Amino acid sequence: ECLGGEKRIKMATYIPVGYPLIDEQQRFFVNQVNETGKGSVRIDMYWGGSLLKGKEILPGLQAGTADMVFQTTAYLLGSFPVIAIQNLPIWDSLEKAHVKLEMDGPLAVFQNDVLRKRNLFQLAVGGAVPEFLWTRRKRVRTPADMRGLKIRVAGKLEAVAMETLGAVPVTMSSAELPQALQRGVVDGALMNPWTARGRGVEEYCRYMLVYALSSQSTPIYVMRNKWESWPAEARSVMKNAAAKWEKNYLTLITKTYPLKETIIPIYEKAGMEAVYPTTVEKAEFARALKPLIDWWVSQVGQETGNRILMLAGVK
Amino acid sequence: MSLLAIIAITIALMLGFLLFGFPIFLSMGGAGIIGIMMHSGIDGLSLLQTTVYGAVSRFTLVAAPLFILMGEVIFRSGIGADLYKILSWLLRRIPGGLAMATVLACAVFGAMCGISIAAVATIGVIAIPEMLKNGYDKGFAAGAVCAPGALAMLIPPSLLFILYGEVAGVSVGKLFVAGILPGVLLVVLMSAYIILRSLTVPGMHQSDAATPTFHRETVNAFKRVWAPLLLILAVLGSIYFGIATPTESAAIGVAGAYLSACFVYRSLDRKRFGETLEEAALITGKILIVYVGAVIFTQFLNLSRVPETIAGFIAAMDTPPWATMIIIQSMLVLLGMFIDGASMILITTPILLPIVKVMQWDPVWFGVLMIANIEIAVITPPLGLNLYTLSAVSKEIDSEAILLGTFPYVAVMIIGLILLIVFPQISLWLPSMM
Amino acid sequence: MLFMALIIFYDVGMRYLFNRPTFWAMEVSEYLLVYLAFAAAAGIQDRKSHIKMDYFHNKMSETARGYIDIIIYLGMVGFASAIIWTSARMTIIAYQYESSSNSTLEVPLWLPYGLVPLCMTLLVLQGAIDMAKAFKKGFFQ
Ligand code: NA
Ligand code: NA
Repeated sequence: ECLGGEKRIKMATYIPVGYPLIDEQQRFFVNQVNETGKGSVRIDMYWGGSLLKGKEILPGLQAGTADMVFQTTAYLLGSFPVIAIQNLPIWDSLEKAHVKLEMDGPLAVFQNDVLRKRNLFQLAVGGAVPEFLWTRRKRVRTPADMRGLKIRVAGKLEAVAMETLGAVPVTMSSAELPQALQRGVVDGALMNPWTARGRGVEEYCRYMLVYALSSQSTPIYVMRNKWESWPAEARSVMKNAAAKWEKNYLTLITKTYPLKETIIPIYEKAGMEAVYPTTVEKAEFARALKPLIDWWVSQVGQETGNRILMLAGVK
Repeated sequence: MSLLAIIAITIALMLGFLLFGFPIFLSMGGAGIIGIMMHSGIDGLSLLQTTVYGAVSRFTLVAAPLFILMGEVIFRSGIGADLYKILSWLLRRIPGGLAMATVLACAVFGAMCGISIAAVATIGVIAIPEMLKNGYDKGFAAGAVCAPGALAMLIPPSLLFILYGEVAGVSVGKLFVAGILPGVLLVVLMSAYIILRSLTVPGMHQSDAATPTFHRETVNAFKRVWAPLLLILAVLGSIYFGIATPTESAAIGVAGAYLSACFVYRSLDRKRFGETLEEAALITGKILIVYVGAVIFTQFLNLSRVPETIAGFIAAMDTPPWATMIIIQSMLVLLGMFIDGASMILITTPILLPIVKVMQWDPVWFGVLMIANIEIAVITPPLGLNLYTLSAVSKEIDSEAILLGTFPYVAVMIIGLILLIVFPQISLWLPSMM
Repeated sequence: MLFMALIIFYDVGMRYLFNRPTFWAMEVSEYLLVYLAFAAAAGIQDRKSHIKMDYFHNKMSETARGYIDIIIYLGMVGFASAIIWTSARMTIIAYQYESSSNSTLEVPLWLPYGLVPLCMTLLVLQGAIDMAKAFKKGFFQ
């Protein structure tokens, strides 16, 4: 593994090459480490699922097929419900999510304390981006508008969120989603507007509800014991790179690809309508989603759940 | 050992195993495992666990066994024979009419599902015995199923278009529409080949002359034909009217096939019912284990970064667009000999896409070319899933005959691919009307 | 397989007619697919009907074919053992870390993972039986 004192690290992601935003962000980290770590650490990167695909990332990390991974948290919630704090509908601003989830911040440290029990280490999160509700025909402004709509979801948390709001969660492979929307097998889907670009979904959906019904993040993970066994110099290179990576993420989502100025107009040009709920309507959603947060607290345990919510600035 | 030597040894091993009659799954999987161990030692084997499980735990694959089961029911209940009887009766005066009926049946089936192996399994089970009964050459009969079976990927709905669309960020709807005319073009080319071959090889179409008399059976076939037509409608309709996704429509097809077999054909007793299930399970098992072997081998190639290197090599060359296109397509044909279609799209699309942008090619057009290329990939050895599927479902024909009989279609498809490259309008005209 | 068709059909029906989709149909069919893929391998080997290119194989002398068959069985045992070894490890890790699927079903992942080593054990046994038979034939000839 070590060549002339240089630590070689096998890193994997399943995100396809050229995937909007996330691919760019992941390349930033790898380049950063490989530039600043010359002689001490080098990342051997396997892009686009060439080593491990979506569901294989966690077992592959645990077995040592990869030493380090980027992984969308939605895939991990079954085994690590505590990190769902990054997916709950509590992040009303990108900056807030960035600050609260910052590396070595109290929330990150506490999450890692819980993850330690199962030997997982979350190096850095970067931030959380909102997932909006995209619908084919129905303009959704309030939870009442969602009643009975069939919404495609990606995991348990989203499914519970949709049930809480009176909608009907549907699971299907992402490959079949565009056609399912076109033909009306489902009425809508939860998607993050940065990465939904150009997947054809905008052709079949007329409305986008600009309100975070859930959130998405793609942190960096390592097995705890492996991380601790690495040379201090290599770890410090990676921590510095991760810190820059976090800042870069905020720049990307707020400056390079700002939501209102750049991202939403792409969909408006494609004929979609962005629906901005009023303050009153937003409050209605927040109230309606309260049982979801209670459900999550019951999943991770009262004490842990409330502590995390407090650190996230919710309670 | 240098990386190049490892790659060469592994590929040589796989070819050697194949030639000595090792089961395909063992040839590819075994060579892949040895390659992985040469590349990253015994620890590298940890890659196997996720690869093997991940290869088959995919919902998009669920459609395959379901369409195979549907095919078994259609076959054992006599529904398929009926449909095929009608098609061949309609085409009775044309040389090679039965083979052409097979091509059309594959195309119609392709419009029902997006998986080529399902098309081969279903139509193969029905059409091969009929063609053999009428004195067709074994290889000729096999080719008429194997190659047109691939049309399922080009004629919408198609899972590969869905994959490409997702990776390339191109509208799946446009891709679907773009695939229609190229699909028709290939049907025409294949039919032309069949007519030519039947006219030039003596004795090939004489046997067809025995079929055309309008038997009482044919009358009966026409009387019952509403049931299978309804079945096609149910599968297609459930997709087009938004009741189900393509995968789910396969389950509807199974239910519909059982219903028509029970109530219209009255041909399904308990024994036959059991046979459909057992046979379909065996066919599925044979195909999926080959798929597992293929994925292990593909994973070795990924680990040694073979596809990335090849694509990077193309990108680095400074050649005119037409030459680049020829190089890309030839490389894809070569690569397609060794890896499966889905992996080919997932691995090469992201790397080729920047080239597509630089050359200002339409990504929809490029997608069609890519899928047309994969149609060749599934019928070329050593890894040609259609070839293996046919040999799994048909006991009458050995793999040698399948290989030889399918080979001319590789040429036919390359002609088709060239036409698609020279005339982008074939792919782009319909989407431009949207 | 019939079960797979039934649950998906049921799912479509519930969703379309009653707007109440099952949340488990897709997941369960994925697990069934894993089972289908690996469980049949041993039975197919017993019938000697795994897909292969047997052109040269059929042209060899009986003795040569006998030797090659033994190598094939050996290879099969080796292949299946390698898969058992790694996938059993994955199963154990999933059990230790209590990994479960991210769905409302919350399936403990060692259950579907465990299908692979279990089914591959059958293939090892079948390979060993075939090998024993081949040797026996060799001795008595
Ligand atoms: Na199709
Ligand atoms: Na091939």
